[in-house]
Amino acid sequence: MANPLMSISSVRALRPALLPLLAALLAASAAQAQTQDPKEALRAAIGNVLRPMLGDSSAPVVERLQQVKPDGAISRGFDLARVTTALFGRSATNVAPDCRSTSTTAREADTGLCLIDAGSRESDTGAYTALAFSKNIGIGDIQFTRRPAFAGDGSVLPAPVKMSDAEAYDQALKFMALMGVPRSEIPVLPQDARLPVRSLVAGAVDEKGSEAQRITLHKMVQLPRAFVVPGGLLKDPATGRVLSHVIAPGGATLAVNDRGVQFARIDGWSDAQMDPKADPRRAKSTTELVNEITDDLWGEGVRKVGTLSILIALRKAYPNPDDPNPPLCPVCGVLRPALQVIVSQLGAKPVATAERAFAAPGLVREYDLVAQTEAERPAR
Amino acid sequence: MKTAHPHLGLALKCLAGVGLSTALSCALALKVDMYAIGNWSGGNCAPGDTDTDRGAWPGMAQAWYDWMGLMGHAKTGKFVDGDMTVKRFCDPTLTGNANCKDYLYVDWPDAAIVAAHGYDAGNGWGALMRNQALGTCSTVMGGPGGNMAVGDNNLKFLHASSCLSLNDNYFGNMRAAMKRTGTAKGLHVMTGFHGVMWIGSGFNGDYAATAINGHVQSVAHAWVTNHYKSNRFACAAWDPFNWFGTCQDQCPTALTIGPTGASALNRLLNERYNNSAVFGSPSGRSYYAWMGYPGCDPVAEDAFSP
Repeated sequence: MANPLMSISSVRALRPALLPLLAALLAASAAQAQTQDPKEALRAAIGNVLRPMLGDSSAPVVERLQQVKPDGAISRGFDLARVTTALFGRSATNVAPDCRSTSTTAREADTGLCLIDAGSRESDTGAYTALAFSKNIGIGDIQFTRRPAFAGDGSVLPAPVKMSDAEAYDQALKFMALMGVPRSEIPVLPQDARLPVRSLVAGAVDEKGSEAQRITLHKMVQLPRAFVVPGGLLKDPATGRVLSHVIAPGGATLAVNDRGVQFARIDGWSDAQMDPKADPRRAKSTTELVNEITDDLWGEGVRKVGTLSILIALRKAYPNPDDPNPPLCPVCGVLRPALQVIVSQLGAKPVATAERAFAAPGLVREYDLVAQTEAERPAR
Repeated sequence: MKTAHPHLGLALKCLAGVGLSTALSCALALKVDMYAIGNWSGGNCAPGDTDTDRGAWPGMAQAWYDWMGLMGHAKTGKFVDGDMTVKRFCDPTLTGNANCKDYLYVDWPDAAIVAAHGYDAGNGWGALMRNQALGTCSTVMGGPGGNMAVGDNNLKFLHASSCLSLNDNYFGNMRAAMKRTGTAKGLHVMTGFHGVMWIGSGFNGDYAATAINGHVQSVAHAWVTNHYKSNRFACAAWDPFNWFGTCQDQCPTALTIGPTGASALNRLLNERYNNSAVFGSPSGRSYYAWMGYPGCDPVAEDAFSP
């Protein structure tokens, strides 16, 4: 068996190597474009990425995804007393009056946030701490901000962060555990993989271009949500590497410094369960998917492909409101097998732009792998 | 009847609100505008060119705009598609062209967001307009021949939802465009992107979160934390978490100016939507201060390296 460290290093080195591959694919698309219309070139580019992943049908992938069993739930792990003690200590806190109810006056589940804070948000220079979380915590939205007091004249700058990326990552994981996020839904990094940590930095420069100051403000940690797929999800034919997780809706961004987590935004880490009504027999063929994606991207104005990434994912969907047997938490939604298509018209490397050669934003779109019943509508 | 001033009707409503004491005090609240283009093909800068259209874009800007309203500010102008031309963005003194009317549009409110295709206009931000006017289809801020300089009238916070809108190579030129020579006032905070930005239904929340968090932490910090997307794009199918280094980023950036480095940094680190009066207008532009993620690697640009 190959040394995993060597494998990872060599795969990292593949990134430059992937570019010629991508270029070749795009060149092939470009060559086809000479004989095909632009939409057919787009269709070919999508097919070139999708067919090696799925073969002729998405059914095998859907069947593997049906094996995913989300076994945790933020609603079971979130302990408000523990959280507030950890974040506010003995500080006097204000609890918004509307936190008392988890349903609206119409007796529907309240999808809003409960706010607990300490200090005055409106204070010009004073400290302030705020925690906001879904009243129905199963929806999985949590926001936390700790603002220190500061000298209004700017005479005192924040101390630069000294902690390492590994320490920041560890603090972020502990914060997620405090919030009740299931540890099993944060993928464990393989040995020697890159930590999802980057420094947030501020600097001052004078009019001659000389740097006067540079401060590392925070270590920013971004944590994806993913589930283990029993038996693995995908094997890359080129590297033999097996992808063992599927990305899921939800994610977290945390700003950490030497005093702990100062900012956190956990989005949509909901209690959603796999959609029991997703029938693998209705899995779409690869040709159907290629055509659906092509038509949709074409409708979104995609004519050129600079980067194209297609990922197998779970997407959050909402059950049919007329369903006589809805899931236990309708506002949490359900998880359906899907493709995430991430496309930009510009390539990875710097390009010269101009008024007639502007940079269009890239697009992120999702497509169900399983055909929907007539009563359902696609939710993009 | 059309009013000569595009905001006049709203300003009157605001005053009426103060008179009745029913609205949040307009004297304290910010005036907020949004300028967004989602359809270029119906204009004359890219006529019939449907591949330029991005229908979901105005909704992203509106997420910020609506939440600024919910936070108690006055929503004074929603400009989407229509006759979006450089006249709404260019500065008459800077250009010497009296048909430039930024003081009635983007430089009229206190805070604004602009959503449009962007490009590097020679170390400055170029934004593609929907219709041609004054001989151009672009507004340009910061580059040579730039026509946009804001903050000399009212604008304090400018958010650019636009690719290549605040690249690291623009900072020196933006410093000048944020406080035009000889003016008492200047732009407090500008935010944008280094490299390509992304559109998706899941990103509307980032704009809403900027509006909310910008009342708790600095506007610059709110922007760069809520729009930062690490390793979400261009990933290989077998590497969705960038464990093997195949992915790229979305790289938000922010900029302030000041007479000293400390003052520019203080504004960058601490000025919020709800304490901007304490900071006042930047009294000089000898320094700029930036915020971002060195090494952040977006599509179509080198890694952020100011």
